[in-house]
Amino acid sequence: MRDNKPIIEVKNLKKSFKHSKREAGLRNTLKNIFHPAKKTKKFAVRDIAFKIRKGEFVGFLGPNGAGKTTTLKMLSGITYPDSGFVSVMGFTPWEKNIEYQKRFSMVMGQKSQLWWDLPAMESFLLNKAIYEISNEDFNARIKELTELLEAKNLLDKQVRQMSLGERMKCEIIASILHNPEVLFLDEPTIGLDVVAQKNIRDFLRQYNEQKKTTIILTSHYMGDILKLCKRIIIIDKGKIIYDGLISKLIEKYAPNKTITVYLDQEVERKKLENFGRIIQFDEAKVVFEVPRKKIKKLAADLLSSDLPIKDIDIAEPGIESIIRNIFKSGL
Amino acid sequence: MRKYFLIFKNAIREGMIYRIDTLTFLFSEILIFFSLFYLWSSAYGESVTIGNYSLKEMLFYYLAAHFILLTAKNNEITWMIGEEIRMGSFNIFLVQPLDYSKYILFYILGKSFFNTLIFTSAFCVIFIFFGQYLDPPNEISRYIYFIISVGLGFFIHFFFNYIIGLSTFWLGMIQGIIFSFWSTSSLLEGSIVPLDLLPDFLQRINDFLPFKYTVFVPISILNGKIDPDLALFLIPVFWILFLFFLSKFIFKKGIKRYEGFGI
Repeated sequence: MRDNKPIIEVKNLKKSFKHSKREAGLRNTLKNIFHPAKKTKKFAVRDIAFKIRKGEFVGFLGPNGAGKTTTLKMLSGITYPDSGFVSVMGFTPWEKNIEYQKRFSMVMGQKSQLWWDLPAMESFLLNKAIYEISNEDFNARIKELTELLEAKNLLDKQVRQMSLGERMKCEIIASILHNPEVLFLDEPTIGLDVVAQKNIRDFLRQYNEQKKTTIILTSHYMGDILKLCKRIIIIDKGKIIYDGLISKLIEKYAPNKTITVYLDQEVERKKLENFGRIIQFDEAKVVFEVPRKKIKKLAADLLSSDLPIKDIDIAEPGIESIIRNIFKSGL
Repeated sequence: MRKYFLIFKNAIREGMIYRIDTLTFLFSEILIFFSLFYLWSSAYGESVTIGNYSLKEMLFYYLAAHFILLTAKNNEITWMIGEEIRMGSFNIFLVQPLDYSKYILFYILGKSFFNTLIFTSAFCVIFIFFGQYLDPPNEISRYIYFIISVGLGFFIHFFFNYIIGLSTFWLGMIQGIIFSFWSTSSLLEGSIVPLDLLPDFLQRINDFLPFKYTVFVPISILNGKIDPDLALFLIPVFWILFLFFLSKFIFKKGIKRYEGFGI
């Protein structure tokens, strides 16, 4: 391994927010003016720890309010934690070291850093000045990024006239012009249509492969994470409930596949049970469940048998359904 | 510094994009000026002066006051800061190596610069056509003192607006405060009526406040009602320094709160 030291390290990270309860209704609002409701403490992140190595592309997955964005905000220095340790490239983010700020970047899907009324290029030029990018670097980066994102025609376009997908391309360009070593992406594809989502995804994958930029991505779209990240960190109720490879998650929580057999005519159940475990039995449709490793053999056995098979279908329980189950019932 | 110059430039470009809006503004100013003209003409009736203003002087006062409001009051930043904090686009300033107060200052300098260009030319046109009703002063030196005085007033306005904008950190929503501040300051700075027409006690309270240095004092220097005494320039400088340090303090406190809450 070239570099085994983690570029991001998080230990015992905790963050709580104080909430004052606001009850609905005019009467309660008036009451609140004179007797402000007691503030209650709510943990957004409780005791999170992980390490990320250089060049990794990690997905943060979790339902709304799980603590994903709060964690990213602490990593980028927007908020500071109640307690705990964070080191990104050796910096403590909330100290707001300028050196640190020049070496990472953040894209917030729901917030814009572009000048709304001006062509996108003006925002890029401002970032060039903010990050002190040289002319050659800037021109080369603009050329490269607009080619990769097919965004050449957007440079002179007023931001407010852009579609959401076009704007997001420009947000991303603006954020990575200074070639950050670490990149935080908070919902970069939110609200985008399928084509625009795919464009952004393809770009991010290529970019991570070429530049070895360390990327953390949060997204509601499981598709984003499955396509881009090998490793996922699942957060729920402020805690990490899974941290590891997606493939392992599948092996661990979905060890079986299913084979659905469509029959021309009814067959006795007993005869079918010889092949494997049946989980569903209709007149002309039978579903077997078998461990992943035995799937090939079962399929071969079925097809070479004298059963009146019309069609056969091998399926994998989708990762989405696995994760849905995890959120529903826990690990 | 180049980054702040670009912010200045971008603000000017924004102004140029909304030419129509600026022209509409100009049109409404002309309309207001005509209403003032007729209102005060009938208020004067037979009398020669009100307070110690002749009709011509009164009209000139209002014209100058409007010029200052259009070029140096910059209250739009209050709203802008409020929205940025409320909606969270403020986050970017915590992530980028960019100083927020300078960003706001250079932005509004750009806006003011653009407005000054537009409205100076517009007001010159008014002088050419209506000069006989206005009686503008002739001495160049008074105009120079006026410009310096307005420049100081610009910074007083700026820091007030900036601080009120920052109060969003605690209050979440500041429309009401913006409006009350706007109406109070309009009265106390002398953009509603010349301050020497106000009751004595208000004038005395006002002596302890910085507002009059933004509108009333510059105009009074221009129309020759008061002499350009050194104190008239030093007191606002003192106020600017005070407000500058106050704003630093408030920003620091506000940021702590923002970071803690992650609004």
